[in-house]
Amino acid sequence: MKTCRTCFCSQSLFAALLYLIVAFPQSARSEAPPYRPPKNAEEAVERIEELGGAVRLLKRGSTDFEVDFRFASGELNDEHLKYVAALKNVAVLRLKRTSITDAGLAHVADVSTLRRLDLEETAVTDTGLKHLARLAKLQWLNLYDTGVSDAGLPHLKGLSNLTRLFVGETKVTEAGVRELKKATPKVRVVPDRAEARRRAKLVVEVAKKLLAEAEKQFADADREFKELDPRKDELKKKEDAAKKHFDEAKAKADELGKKKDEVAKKHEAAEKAAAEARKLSEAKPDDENLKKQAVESQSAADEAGKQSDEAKKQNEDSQKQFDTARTEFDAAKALHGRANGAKKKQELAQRILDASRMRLADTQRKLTALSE
Amino acid sequence: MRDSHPTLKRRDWLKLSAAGLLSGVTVPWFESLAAAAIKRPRGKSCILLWMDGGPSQQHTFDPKTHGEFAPKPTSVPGIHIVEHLPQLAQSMDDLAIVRSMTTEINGHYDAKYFLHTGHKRTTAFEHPAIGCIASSQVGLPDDDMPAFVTIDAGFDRPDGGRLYRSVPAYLGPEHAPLAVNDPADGLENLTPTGDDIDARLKLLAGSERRFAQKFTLPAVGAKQAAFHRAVRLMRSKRSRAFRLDEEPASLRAEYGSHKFGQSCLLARRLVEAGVSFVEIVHRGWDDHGGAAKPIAYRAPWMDAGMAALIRDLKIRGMLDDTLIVWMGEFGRTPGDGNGHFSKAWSTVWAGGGIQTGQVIGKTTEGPKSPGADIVDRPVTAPDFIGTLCLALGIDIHQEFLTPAKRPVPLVDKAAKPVQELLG
Amino acid sequence: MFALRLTGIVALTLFVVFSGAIPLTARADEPLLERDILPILTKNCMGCHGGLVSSGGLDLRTLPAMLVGGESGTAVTSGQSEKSELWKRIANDEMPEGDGREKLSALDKAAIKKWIDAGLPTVSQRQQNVDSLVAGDEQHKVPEVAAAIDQHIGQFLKAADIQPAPLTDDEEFLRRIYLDLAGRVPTAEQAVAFLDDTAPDRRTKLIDSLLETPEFGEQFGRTWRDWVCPPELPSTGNAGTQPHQQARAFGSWIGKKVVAGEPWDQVTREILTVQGEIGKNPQVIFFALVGKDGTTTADGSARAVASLFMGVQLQCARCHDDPYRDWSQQEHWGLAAFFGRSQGDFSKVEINKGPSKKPGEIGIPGSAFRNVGSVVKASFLRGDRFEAKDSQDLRQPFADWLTAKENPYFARAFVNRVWFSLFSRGIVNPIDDFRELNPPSHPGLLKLLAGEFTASGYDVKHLIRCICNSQAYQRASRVAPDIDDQQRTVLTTAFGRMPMRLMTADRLYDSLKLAFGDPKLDLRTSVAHASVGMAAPVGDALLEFHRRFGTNEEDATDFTHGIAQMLTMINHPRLLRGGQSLEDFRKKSPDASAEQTIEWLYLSTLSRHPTKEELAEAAEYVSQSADPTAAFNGVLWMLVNRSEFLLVR
Repeated sequence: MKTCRTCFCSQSLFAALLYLIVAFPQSARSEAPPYRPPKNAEEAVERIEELGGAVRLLKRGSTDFEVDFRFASGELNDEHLKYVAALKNVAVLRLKRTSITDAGLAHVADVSTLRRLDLEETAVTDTGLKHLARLAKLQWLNLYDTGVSDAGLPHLKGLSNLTRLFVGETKVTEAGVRELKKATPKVRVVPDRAEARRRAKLVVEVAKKLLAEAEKQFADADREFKELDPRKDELKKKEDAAKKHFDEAKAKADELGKKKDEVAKKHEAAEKAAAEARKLSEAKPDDENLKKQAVESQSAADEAGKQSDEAKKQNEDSQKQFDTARTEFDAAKALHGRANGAKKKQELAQRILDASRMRLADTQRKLTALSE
Repeated sequence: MRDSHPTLKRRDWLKLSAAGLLSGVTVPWFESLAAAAIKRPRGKSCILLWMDGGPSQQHTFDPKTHGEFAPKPTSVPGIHIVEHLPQLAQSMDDLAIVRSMTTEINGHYDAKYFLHTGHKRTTAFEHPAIGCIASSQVGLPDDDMPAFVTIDAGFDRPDGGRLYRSVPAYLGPEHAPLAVNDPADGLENLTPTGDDIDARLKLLAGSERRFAQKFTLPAVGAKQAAFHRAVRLMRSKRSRAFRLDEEPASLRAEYGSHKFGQSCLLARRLVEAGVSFVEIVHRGWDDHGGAAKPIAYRAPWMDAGMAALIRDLKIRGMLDDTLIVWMGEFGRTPGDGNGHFSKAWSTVWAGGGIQTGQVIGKTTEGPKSPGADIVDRPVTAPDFIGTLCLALGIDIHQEFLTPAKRPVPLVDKAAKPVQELLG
Repeated sequence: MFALRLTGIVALTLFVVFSGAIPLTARADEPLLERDILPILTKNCMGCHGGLVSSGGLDLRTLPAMLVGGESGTAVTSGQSEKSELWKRIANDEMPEGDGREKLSALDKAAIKKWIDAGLPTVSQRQQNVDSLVAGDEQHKVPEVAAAIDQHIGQFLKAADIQPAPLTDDEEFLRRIYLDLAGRVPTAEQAVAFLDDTAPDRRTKLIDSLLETPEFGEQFGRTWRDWVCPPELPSTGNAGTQPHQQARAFGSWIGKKVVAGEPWDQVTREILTVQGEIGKNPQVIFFALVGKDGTTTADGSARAVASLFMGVQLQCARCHDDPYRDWSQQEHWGLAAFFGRSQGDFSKVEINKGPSKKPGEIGIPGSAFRNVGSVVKASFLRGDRFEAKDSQDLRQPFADWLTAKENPYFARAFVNRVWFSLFSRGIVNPIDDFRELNPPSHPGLLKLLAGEFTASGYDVKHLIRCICNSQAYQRASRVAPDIDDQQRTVLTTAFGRMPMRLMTADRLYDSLKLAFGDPKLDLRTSVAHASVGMAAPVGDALLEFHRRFGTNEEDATDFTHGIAQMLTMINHPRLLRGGQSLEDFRKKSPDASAEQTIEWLYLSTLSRHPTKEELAEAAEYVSQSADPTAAFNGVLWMLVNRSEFLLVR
């Protein structure tokens, strides 16, 4: 087991770190060392890391690797790619924004296990693509923002495993893609400009529709604002008056309701008394007193009945007035409420309208760009 | 220039050496860690679109037939979302909607904590947020760029009201996020003030070298290493990723002039530059006065930003390597979206090699109270975090130690990741 | 599991520490229970034979429990491994039992066998009848105590055959004592005053004078505030306000009392028995800070009091008997019962209200794991039962018990914390985990300090004075370049040197404010156009500084700053704009040379004179600049970016 003397390491390490900061103010990196053939895979990995590349397992438990030069420190040159060929099981090679050229792709072609190759924003052109024809296992090829055009695509015709091809920001046209797809129908090419246009059109349609709705809603809200907002105080007064009226009507209805109940009770009692008196009289038909009482009771009951009817009518009237007052009060409240909220509503509607306008403008611009 | 122990992060190495483990003691796990680091498996990057406040699901991705926003068709037959997100609707084949999120907690702070960590909040100790987890587990080791960046995560309120902040907790302070406040301004304190930074650093270097020679101690090494990393970031070409002005105006316009859209563009640049986790926070979704109108004016910029991001990643071939998650800390009450609602809500996923063009989980239809509950496939907060971790390539079965030496699993053991997403 | 590997590391360190240090009655290669056997049992056995689960009735947490044994009788027979059940079962790999459980290694088995055959020796046996080296029960003069401290540490170092580091020079001492006691670096003038002093007792005088400043109170109060506050402050409701202001006020309140000379038992009593509104009693916040969601809890209070004032960790025992330590759930709730008839929130504490239905007892709530509903009577920890009379505030008798002279917990918990705050390591570690099976590294020293503290009437300043005047406190942090990490760890653990520490956020902030002469130093970004919505434009500058520059409370040697912090120090415009104090100096001394100004800058940041080399380098830098103000600002910038500034030697 190795031991490590922290002090010694750190001393030289810190000194070196600071020396670098001081000596190379603009970049703490040295020039990339030239290619030296590695003795074995381990050494190749070391060289790759020296250049700022990384060798990683594709995922836990996998036996395939990726070699990632995206953040390479010094200038990567074509010869350095030979290190990759010295490794086994390299399935992915990332060369985005590196300084390799078409010549480097000749070395890439030696990595026979390659399934994915990223060449975005490199100096690769149609010429370089011819080397890639040897990569039988290649599934994914990223040529975004490179110098390739329709002329280079035929080189890829033999790649039967190719399923993804990225040609954004290149001179490749839809015609070139169609040609390629004849030989490799499985391949999905990104971007699909026709499809993108179709979708962008749909988006613009929706944006138009939503804008029309927003305009209408804004018009409504604006109108309401202009109508009601200046009348806020007036409508508040109206609401207060309607409330007063409502309270009064309610009080009256309650009062008359109570009265009606009282009187109805009295009537009921009187009817009961009359019925009893009648019974007594019928039991003793010869008793003149009883007969008189029965008649009197009945009159009283009739009188009470009349009063009860009167009270009922009054109650109904007051109820009707109460209902009217309530309806009026609700309406006044609602109107006042609308007046209060009209400003906010209009502002919201304005925001929605502005956003909808912006959406239409942006999506139309996108459609135009796609149609060029 | 490499550390003399390239296979282990310096901090870990120093810590181990301080514990005396590098001096003649055999510790098997150290060796296997060293071996693993050099071949650390590739992980994916993640862009988290955090819609703070709780966006209403029925006004975005789970509309109901008689609701305030009607369901409208998308580019995937059978999947409907609101009409107000037309660009996303046309990108549905690149999206997956999980409509059966169910997460118990209706309070903002506790819910944010729960959805960021997969654990319920306790004052005893803190759990690491998902961004810090990603930084620790799949962040590029010994890299120029920080592994975790937040955009517009904000400050606490002056009355002391808190915003949730991602903390690394027991994963170590180097996994704390670097914060960008306004995407137009880039990373705070990245550019030197004054014009003689080189002269000042040179002035500093001599004394620092002498001090390190005199005091060969871990704390000194750690400080100088952190300082060196900061200077390295300042000097690195890749730090230009923080500058939006390097993008063509047409692309900036496509993402939208709103801060959210510009944040999405910045996130793409950061991921390109090697950042593993970018969290964009956008506040203001807490629509207690009803969600319809506010979402009507938010939808355009949200639609533009998110859809542009997905298209941009796709066209550059980055979409498979970059997971995108759109979410809040809960959803909103079915109907008008007035209140918080954690029982049945939606998250949206894209990229990262997940299975898209599908909806996972359903909420009830009606006629009574549509959306009041989930019908099937519940996805809890631990399930969610477990799924996210697996999608990024993180081993969810690990355990860590809290400061009180209590073992805590990275993801709750009972978590059931959503396999339908992971494929 | 990581947990247990760490236990292994601790064991390893203890091994090194104890191997030479056990006094003459033990042999260096003898296995001891706490040091060698317990880690094995903790890792492999206590999951099933501890406080949480005791399979077969067997509890292996303590020696008495082992001797009592379980269903199969006693687990260990002293001196006879072949008769011991424990040995028999691990020897034939019958134990540990269960699928996938690792069996004990040959080394571990041998250690256990040896331990049993050696007669079950323990460290704590060795620590009976420890001599504190001074007469007990009376207060002594500072030099006498300081000398005794050094004697204890010297004995340990001698037994372990370690050479201590030399004493600090004046420059190192000056900065260290100001930061430790006043929470900031000295001003240039204060630095010069000390460095120019030739009196032989200048260090003692400086210690004495600092102990009388209000800043000492602030710093002392902050330390305790940080100990009281949990990592995440509680809040009422969600996203609710956290009591940061109240916590700061609480710290200041403690500090003022201590500076004024109030004895610690009185301060403790005032905290524990407070009632009323927070306006008049800042210490009201203590209970809510250790409670839950903005209200106090009886068990939260009990656990906090146990940790802070008794040195005892009871958190595991809330829900069940502690799996690894010898505390039971009954004991935990017995302590909680004292806090059951008081309750409060962020603004007040009231008595005669609380979770206890009857004073003097408390029911175990549903949120605990076990024994829910059972009622536990108040009892002092490992002490007598307590009989509650009517509805008195039980915190009073608790405080009486806690601060009584004979109380075995109070003094030693405090002196251990003070020692920890000055040495970054306690005499017992973790500092709140006093128990028989976690013995102190220096039992005599602990006894000395606890006794002195008690005898002095709990005089905080006297204790600190004694410690700071010892040679141990004044040792340098520098180590010889040829010692390795293990040796350095051992030396530090033995208090043979001071570790190098990272400045806490408060100290850094105050030191920066002083160096720049700017009491409102603000290192946040420009927030002019920060977002709308739930985030207001401006946060609390101090809180933001804490969030950014917070440190590891448990390990001051842990350098926790990263890129964000470094970038702030390197590029924040405020740190390049100089400050009022530099301006004042230059105004006061308009004829000062560049060298003199540089010297003044060194004194106000690193608290020392620059070396010839440093002076030359800085002078050259200044001479190359057209604008002297900008140049001096640049030198100041350089100084606060030095490792030497952030770190405390």
